[in-house]
Amino acid sequence: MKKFSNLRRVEGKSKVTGTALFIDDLNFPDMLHGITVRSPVARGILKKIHFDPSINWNDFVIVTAKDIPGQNIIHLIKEDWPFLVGERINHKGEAIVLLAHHDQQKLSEASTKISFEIETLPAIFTIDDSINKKEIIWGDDNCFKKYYINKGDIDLAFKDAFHVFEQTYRTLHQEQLYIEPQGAIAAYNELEGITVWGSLQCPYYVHGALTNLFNFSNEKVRIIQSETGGAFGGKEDYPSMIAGHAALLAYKAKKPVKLIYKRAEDLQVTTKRHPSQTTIKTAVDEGGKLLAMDIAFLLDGGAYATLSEVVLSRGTLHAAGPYFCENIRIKSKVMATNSPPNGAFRGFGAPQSIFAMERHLDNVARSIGITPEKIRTINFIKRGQTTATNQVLDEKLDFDSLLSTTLSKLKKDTKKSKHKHIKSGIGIATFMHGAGFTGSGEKYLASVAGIEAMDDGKIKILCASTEMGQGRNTIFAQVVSETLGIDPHHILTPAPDTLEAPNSGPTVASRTSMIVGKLLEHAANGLRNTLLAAGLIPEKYTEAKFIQALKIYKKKYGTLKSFHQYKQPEHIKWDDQTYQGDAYPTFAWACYGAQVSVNTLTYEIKVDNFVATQEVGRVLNRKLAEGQIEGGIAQGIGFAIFEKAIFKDGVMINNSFTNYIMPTALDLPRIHVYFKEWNKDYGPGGAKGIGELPLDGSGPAVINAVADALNICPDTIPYLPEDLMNDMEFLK
Amino acid sequence: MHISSINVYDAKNIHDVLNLLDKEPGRWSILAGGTDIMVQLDLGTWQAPNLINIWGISDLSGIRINKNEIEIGALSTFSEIINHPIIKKEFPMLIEAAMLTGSIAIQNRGTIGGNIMNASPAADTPPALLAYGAEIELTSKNEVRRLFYKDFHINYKLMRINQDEILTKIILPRTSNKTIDFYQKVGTRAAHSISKACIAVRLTMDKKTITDIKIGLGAVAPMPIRVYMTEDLLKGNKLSMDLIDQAILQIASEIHPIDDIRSNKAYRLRVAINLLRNFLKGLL
Ligand SMILES: Cc1cc2nc3c(=O)[nH]c(=O)nc-3n(C[C@H](O)[C@H](O)[C@H](O)COP(=O)(O)OP(=O)(O)OC[C@H]3O[C@@H](n4cnc5c(N)ncnc54)[C@H](O)[C@@H]3O)c2cc1C
Repeated sequence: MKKFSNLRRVEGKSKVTGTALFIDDLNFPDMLHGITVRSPVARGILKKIHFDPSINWNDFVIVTAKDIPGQNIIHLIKEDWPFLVGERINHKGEAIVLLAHHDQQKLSEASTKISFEIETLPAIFTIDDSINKKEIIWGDDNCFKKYYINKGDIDLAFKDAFHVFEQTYRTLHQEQLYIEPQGAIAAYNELEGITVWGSLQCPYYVHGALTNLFNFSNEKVRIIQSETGGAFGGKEDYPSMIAGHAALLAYKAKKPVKLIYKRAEDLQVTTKRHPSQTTIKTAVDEGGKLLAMDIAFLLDGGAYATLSEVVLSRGTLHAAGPYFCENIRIKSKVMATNSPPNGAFRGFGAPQSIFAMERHLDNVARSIGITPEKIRTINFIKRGQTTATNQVLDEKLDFDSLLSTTLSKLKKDTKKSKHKHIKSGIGIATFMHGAGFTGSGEKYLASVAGIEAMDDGKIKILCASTEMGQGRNTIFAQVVSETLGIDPHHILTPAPDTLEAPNSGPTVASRTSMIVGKLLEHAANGLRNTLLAAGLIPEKYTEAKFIQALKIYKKKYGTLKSFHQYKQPEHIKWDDQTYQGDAYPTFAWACYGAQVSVNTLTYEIKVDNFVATQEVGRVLNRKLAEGQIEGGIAQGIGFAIFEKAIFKDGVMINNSFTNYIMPTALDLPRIHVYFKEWNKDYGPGGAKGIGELPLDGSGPAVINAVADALNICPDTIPYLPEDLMNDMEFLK
Repeated sequence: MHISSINVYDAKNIHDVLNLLDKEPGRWSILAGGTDIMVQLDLGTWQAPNLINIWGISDLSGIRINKNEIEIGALSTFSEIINHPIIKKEFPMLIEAAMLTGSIAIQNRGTIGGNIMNASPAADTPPALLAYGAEIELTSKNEVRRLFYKDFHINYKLMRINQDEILTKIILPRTSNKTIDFYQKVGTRAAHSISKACIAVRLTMDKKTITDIKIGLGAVAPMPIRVYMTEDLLKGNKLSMDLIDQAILQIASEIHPIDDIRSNKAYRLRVAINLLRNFLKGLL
């Protein structure tokens, strides 16, 4: 089979030359602009909305909760997140009134002329206050969801253990920082219903949210993805909100309405990575073998449940790391606080719990006097052993090879510096990332994807998976062209439009290439078989012959489409009740290493060198895969030592690029990327998911290196120079 | 203020600017590279609706080398300064400050005059200008006057400039003495970064005795400052560990950093101290 693994980014040229149309580039005749007026307090009861009489409000389209024709709830997992405040306010910045007007300046002036009468209630902002029920702000106990995993007999194992070590680790918010802020345009007419164009990840999430919002049938809501420049999870749930708002305005105005957030607004009100608090207690024997792990994993979910329980699930399932241990207990909870809901962010809870475990192992190694490599070598899971959920790992696992590749590029000229005040250190992290949805997730989704032959002999991809800079277009074109044996330029990869694209599930969980790519591989085979059965192509055919056959078939029968639906393999067994079984169909495996230098005068940390070795099945497209890894590591380094969102009253107050410090190219090291391709039983051609993997291990590798450089024990990220200074003063 | 309510007048030459400032003092503000104004407009914090655009007025830019001093037009961009061979040789801290400002796009557009007049306590060229003992030239329709830059900032965003004046030049005194310079910016990241602390020192030494020293600092007070008492303590004295310790105690009481969204008081103080101490120790 001919491979196209060097295929360039399908939409690369249009993005580089500026012809790609992002949501704010789209305009419609007679279009209005929208703006959102928000709660000034974190918690309270809305009594009255006051419209300043100095404004002629008849000029404006005004929408409040009262105007909602259907349900005022964003349909997700738990039905608790309103589009607009009805009565209860649960976080600062919650939307109360929507306005539309054709003049943006008038709009922003008018938005300042709306005020609210609110009975303020006390708010809570920390996991501790939420657990201690300082105020009850959600349900009976502020807890959105909890999980409990138990393996072996943990209490017995702790009893006469050689060494027991316990510590708590924390991670704070992280912002996704996608290229363009959240935005949507909505149009309405009676015949077709609502159409929304938006910068979004999951068209069918928005579709579901809007059918509920309007009580419309499925056909009366149409969602079209506009070019989306990076999303990182940030455009998984929130687009339902902004699309809903634009749609409510358009419905009332009977005109198209564009609603685009300013960056400052976006940073304050949209979802972020969940802050976490993980307490790990472990027992080891003299040699460093893990005997027992007791893990308490807590997340701050913000004011509404949104995707929190799924984030918690992934974080929980990754909390024990890629290590074998006979006795494991994991208890996890996601708690409510009065801040905007936290949501999906590349890694989805795993980077939080993995940070804790990888720091913890270094701490344990140090306290019993063995190296970080040693403790990982001893405990890394082997083929045939079981994970925390008693999933038996039946695939090749060669930790030594991951470790040695990483160390081979890391050992060079460390701990040698010309300047006395520069200290250098190295750190590693080993980890796994479950590919695809957790447990029975894929089974319930039962995704469908397909392809369609066009009159001109081209093949169009039909699925709801979105391009957002990660390479969906390219990978899908590659998979289908490789399967059919034709050149990729015959493959069309339009952005999803729910009018024609079947629900291939959300574009999340590193599942697009592995799961949807596989469905397309099947669909392509199906299409070829149709042509074979029709006698239009022989077993072995040329590209020209194939295209000709497509055209003939189309002429004769009208349409030629081929779809495939996901069926979970029989051998995958998962129990949602006990959280036991095959948590993921497969895992990617990795060992990352960082080399840092720390300036003891300014407390600045510089990552000098980074090595990322991973096993991800077949690497479909090397350039794209490397891009995913490098980008994820950049984001992980940001998570570890740069990006601190400062919160006040439950909202981010350093809500600008100036003050929320994401690393620039100059702050990043050379990144060496190595792939191992051991296991090729899964996605198309054997690919596993890679999108989220690099965020898991880069933070702890960097912080472990800092700890190594200075003999300190950072336990919270982001770890900024100010924190380093405090830890060093403490040492004195 | 929204950008659509801004009124921009494109001045043809310096007389045009001065006439307008003279006729309606207080009504007009200057638009140079616009790199600060643009951001403030976007944030909605910019208050002055009437701008005189001076971009492109050649009288205001250009670098002139005289026998005893270098005159830098206020409209000179960071890039123009970075590429000037004599500044590079004689005033390397100014080059370093310019190269650490924003990123290349900002350096191509941002001006040294704008950097001074925006009067951010965290601006990066002022500490270097202070350490070099720079002067500035202020011009109105009726007068051209010179002022030591060290006397220009009075408090947060408060400067000795009249409403009919414009900053026209920055003047750097040349010297044939052997000098030692030390400049360090400590920001939040390697580019596009606002200083958390910034220090610039120029000194002359005779054997181990400091004969002259000027220390300029950024982000440790409401404005860019010199630390005269610390300078006096070091000046005329033989460098020793003991003297350095005294100087450190002195500077700690002379600067007044604050806690804000970018950093905190303790860190700023500690870093300023560490950098000065380490620099002086290196001269022992
Ligand atoms: C992304 C980014 C990064 C940046 N990084 C840095 C940095 O690292 N370090 C740093 O110090 N700054 C930085 N800045 C700030 C800015 O670029 C500098 O302060 C620059 O020098 C401003 O010059 P300008 O010509 O653009 O000023 P403008 O924006 O045109 O004007 C700034 C102020 O000065 C006044 N003004 C300008 N010229 C004159 C004059 N001749 N006479 C009287 N008043 C005048 C204006 O009225 C206005 O109040 C950054 C800005 C951005 C956007």
